[in-house]
Amino acid sequence: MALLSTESLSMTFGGLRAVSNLSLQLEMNDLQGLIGPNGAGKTTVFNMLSGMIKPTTGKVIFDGEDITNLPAHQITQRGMARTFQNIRLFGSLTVLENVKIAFHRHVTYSFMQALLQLNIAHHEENITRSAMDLLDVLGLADRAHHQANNLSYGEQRLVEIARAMATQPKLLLLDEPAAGMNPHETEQLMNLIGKIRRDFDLSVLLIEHDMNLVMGICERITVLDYGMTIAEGSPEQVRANPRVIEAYLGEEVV
Amino acid sequence: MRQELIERRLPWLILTVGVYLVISVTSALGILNDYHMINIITIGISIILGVSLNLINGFTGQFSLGHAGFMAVGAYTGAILTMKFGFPFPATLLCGGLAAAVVGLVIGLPTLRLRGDYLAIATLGFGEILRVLFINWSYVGGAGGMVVTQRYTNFHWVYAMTVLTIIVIRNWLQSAHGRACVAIREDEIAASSMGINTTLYKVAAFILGSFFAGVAGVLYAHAYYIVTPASFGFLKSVEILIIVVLGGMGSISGSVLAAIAITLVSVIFTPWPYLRMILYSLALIIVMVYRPGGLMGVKEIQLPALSLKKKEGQQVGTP
Ligand SMILES: Nc1ncnc2c1ncn2[C@@H]1O[C@H](COP(=O)(O)OP(=O)(O)OP(=O)(O)O)[C@@H](O)[C@H]1O
Ligand SMILES: [Mg+2]
Repeated sequence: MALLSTESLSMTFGGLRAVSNLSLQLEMNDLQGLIGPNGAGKTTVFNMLSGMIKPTTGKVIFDGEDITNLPAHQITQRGMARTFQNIRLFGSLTVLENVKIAFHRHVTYSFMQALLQLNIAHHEENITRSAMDLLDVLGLADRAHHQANNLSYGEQRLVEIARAMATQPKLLLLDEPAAGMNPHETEQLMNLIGKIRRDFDLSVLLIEHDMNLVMGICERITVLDYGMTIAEGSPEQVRANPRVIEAYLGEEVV
Repeated sequence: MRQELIERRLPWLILTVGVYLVISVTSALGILNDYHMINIITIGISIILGVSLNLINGFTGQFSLGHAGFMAVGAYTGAILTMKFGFPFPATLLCGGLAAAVVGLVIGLPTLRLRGDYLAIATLGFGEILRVLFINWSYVGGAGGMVVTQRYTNFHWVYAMTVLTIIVIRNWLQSAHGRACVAIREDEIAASSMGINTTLYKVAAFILGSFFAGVAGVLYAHAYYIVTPASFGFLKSVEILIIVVLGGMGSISGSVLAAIAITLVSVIFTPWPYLRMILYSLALIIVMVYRPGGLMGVKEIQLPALSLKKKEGQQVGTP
């Protein structure tokens, strides 16, 4: 059974069909790419999957359950996490606090315990330790006590990933994680995504404009154009598809 | 770990007990007279109001404009319970807080589910409706107000409730639940994407803040002879808001300092009420220009940790 599948998912904004009849299939441990020119509807797909907006028509099935109408926080609690293209960190907090907040799903103590500070010390220590471990994995440990806003663009994108990871997802949605990164950082990110997928045993759906990145690490790629799926398949198949070349890749890639 | 915690908290404990002793003793010796004491009581009530509103406006980022309304609910509940039903004061404090919390739930639940500033509109309207309600309710004295002869509120009660408010709200903010509230202030969409039920946490913060406003109302009702609908109008809400903004949206110690300053200013300028409003406005403008985040911003006052033992040279191998 697929981890994620969508059935004729569509989103209309006023008269604009941002996404039409999308059918995605993602298996456990897949690393899939979602590409397409600007305004093709990629982010809108993420917004629908993660419950930020409700699709006009269609269904999202995640881990055997219809999650189409669930609120965002419940979708996260079921094991889907995302990053944001237009970075949405908790800017005036430290990097460590950002990640600690994302462990919310695993907080077991009650409101009353919090108000009275009753037996929460070891829970809090565990959260802090787990958060530091994650920052270590992403190479951000030395930034733990920096204010998130003060980090470089590339580092902020990494904190976004750390935060998404902290929710302990089965499926990670990455929206242009390499945007704003230099080639060196991008290469490190490629390795990191591969490593995370292996070590944490999760699936990744990746939106990215950096073709080297997408073609380099994705096993399957879906191509959107004006909200329509114009191609789907392995990187080789997609690269060779004339519609893709016309719509997106341009002559120089052939 | 434990040791470190104690060392960090000891200075606060000393400060808290110290201030209490100094005021108690000087008042017993007659150095502080009744006039001083009623102003100290007013300061305490303002601190409770400021810190509890800061939880809603500053830490959770939800704009409430009706904090005085919740104070009114507490004040009238308290006055009714002691004057008409002979309740003991501790139970009255609790009931006043709970009544305000229930009203907070009723107002918060429908408005806080929506994104945007519906809460501001709802709380603004709520304050007005409440005022009209009390004016027309003869059981509590209508526009003339309700006389409260039971003057239970004294320095000891106010001090205890002030410290309790600060500790409880600080505890909340240092927990994962409090972090969820701050996350909502920072970015509500990202917070929901972290698995946080944003409605739940906005309502929780609003109820908690309302509870303490209710407690402050009970203290108020039993400190002065009378509660009137006019005491809890829009201007009172604005005054509490000024405390929060001046002290820093997101700083408990900032609210404490601002509550003290605002109360002192308002006491000194009581004979010239218009001057007082001008001074508030000036202070706000100056703060907005020179310290847009308020006196303390989102920072807290730090006291240096007290070391209980002398450092034993090499034995600093603790993690
Ligand atoms: N909330 C919204 N309201 C109205 N129109 C929207 C909304 N969100 C997206 N759109 C429109 O839908 C279309 C698809 O947008 P989307 O952000 O999904 O594209 P994208 O593929 O992510 O593009 P990019 O590569 O630039 O990030 C665009 O035309 C956009 O203007
Ligand atoms: Mg996009």
